Amino acid sequence: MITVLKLILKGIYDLRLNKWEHLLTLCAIILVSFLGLLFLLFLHNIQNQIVENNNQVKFTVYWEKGVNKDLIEKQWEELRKKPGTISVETYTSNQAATILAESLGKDVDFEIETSKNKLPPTAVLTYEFSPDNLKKRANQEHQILRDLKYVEEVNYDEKAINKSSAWLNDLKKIIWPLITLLILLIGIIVGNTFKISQISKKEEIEVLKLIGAGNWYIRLPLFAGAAMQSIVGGTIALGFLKTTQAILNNILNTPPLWLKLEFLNQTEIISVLACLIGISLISSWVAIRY
Amino acid sequence: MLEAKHVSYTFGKEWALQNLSFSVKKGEFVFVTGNSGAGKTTLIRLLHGAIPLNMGSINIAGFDLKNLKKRYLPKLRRNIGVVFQDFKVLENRTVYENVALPLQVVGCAQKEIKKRIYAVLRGLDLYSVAKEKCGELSGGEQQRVAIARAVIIKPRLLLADEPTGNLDDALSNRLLDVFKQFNKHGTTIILATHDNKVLESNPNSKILYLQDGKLIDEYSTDAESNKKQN
Repeated sequence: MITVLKLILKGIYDLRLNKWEHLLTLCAIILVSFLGLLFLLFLHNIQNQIVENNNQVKFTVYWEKGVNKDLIEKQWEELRKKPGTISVETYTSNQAATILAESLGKDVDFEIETSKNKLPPTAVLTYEFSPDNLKKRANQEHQILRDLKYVEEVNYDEKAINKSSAWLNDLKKIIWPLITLLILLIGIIVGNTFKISQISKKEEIEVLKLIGAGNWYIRLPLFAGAAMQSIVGGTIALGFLKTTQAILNNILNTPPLWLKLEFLNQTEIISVLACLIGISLISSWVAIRY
Repeated sequence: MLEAKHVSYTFGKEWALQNLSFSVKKGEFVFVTGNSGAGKTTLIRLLHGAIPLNMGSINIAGFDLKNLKKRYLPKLRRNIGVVFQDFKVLENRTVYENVALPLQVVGCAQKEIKKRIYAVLRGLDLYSVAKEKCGELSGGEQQRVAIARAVIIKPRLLLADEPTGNLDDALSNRLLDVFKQFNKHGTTIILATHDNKVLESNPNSKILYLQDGKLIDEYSTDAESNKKQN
């Protein structure tokens, strides 16, 4: 274990040798990672926008007329507490009548006496579901709402849900191949950069082999150096990306655009760094074999 | 120490070595000589496993090169020191770092490494340049660094391929004295050279004369053993 640790430290310490090669490799990693991350940020925000606009379902629930107001209000309170609830707009019979009168305008003579009001208590519920099972969850929720006591009718726009589901499915079909292509491109460029930088170590590898160094003794320091360069390069690229995102967000998130540009989430950041490290290790392995 | 039987090697259709058989005793000083293209370098490369042995057999200190698995090759090389004509020192590392490499590979303690390196560097007159980068040294100094790196592990066998090829006469003689000193201390040495002056430098040695990959002559320059043979 101590030997492994020593070899890892040796790999990092040896980065001081061949400074220019390492610096240029680092620059290439930063540049390629930054461009890749910028593309990822673009995809991430497009996906967010599409999901945000398509993962909400609106239910209009009508209660039976003449049911005790307190009982219905109690049900409304419970509906407000449900997880995934975005908004709950409620209307008693009278409120519904007032809104109806307002929407008809002053020209229409619409006056309802409280005792003769036939409009049912109504609630417009907006729920947010996972985009993966939007249709299924909408159906389930529809059934739950219909089964509520005193509820007479529940409506929701099934066509809109089908459309949203189709959108989200199409998005999945596009996003993953794009991300795969992006990783592949970064892999090829960063990998080749590493391969070229390892050529400067060809002589050292040859000498180490001559004096009886084993495979791992030769490879481990090179892997450690490559991983360190990836981490540093990736982190600097993420720093640049954060700055770019902040600047762009300031420009875009103002009238009339109001486009909010979000930064990558933690999982995406960790995945990018892990990918970079993986690529550097694989390319170092290939370079040494070569 | 070393036994080679019917060793042959080809580069494509050309024979680099043909049916070589010889043996080297422990503590012996052997010169491998012959003109350019005689097969000296190929033989040295075969002996430290840089190229695979296809025909014949070589046994070095218990290692059977013919059947040696790839994973045991580093173990063999830790018992053999090699010095090349082009030095093969790492120019961006200091003399100390270059010489320390074989000891680090075998996992020697830092204190022991320091002790052994400074002893060898003193012996090879490199003590004053220990902290200097090899790229800044002269050819003679670089060759001595290569020798220091080869002998630091106290190898059972020291191989040298034209070690004086790039040096002037004075430096060559100085280096040969170094080799002789190590030989006196019990290290078996096989030195490939085409230079007759080098052959004459050590009267107590064995000479293997190669021509077109064949062992043409094998004789000892040791006066006493010649007397016995006669």
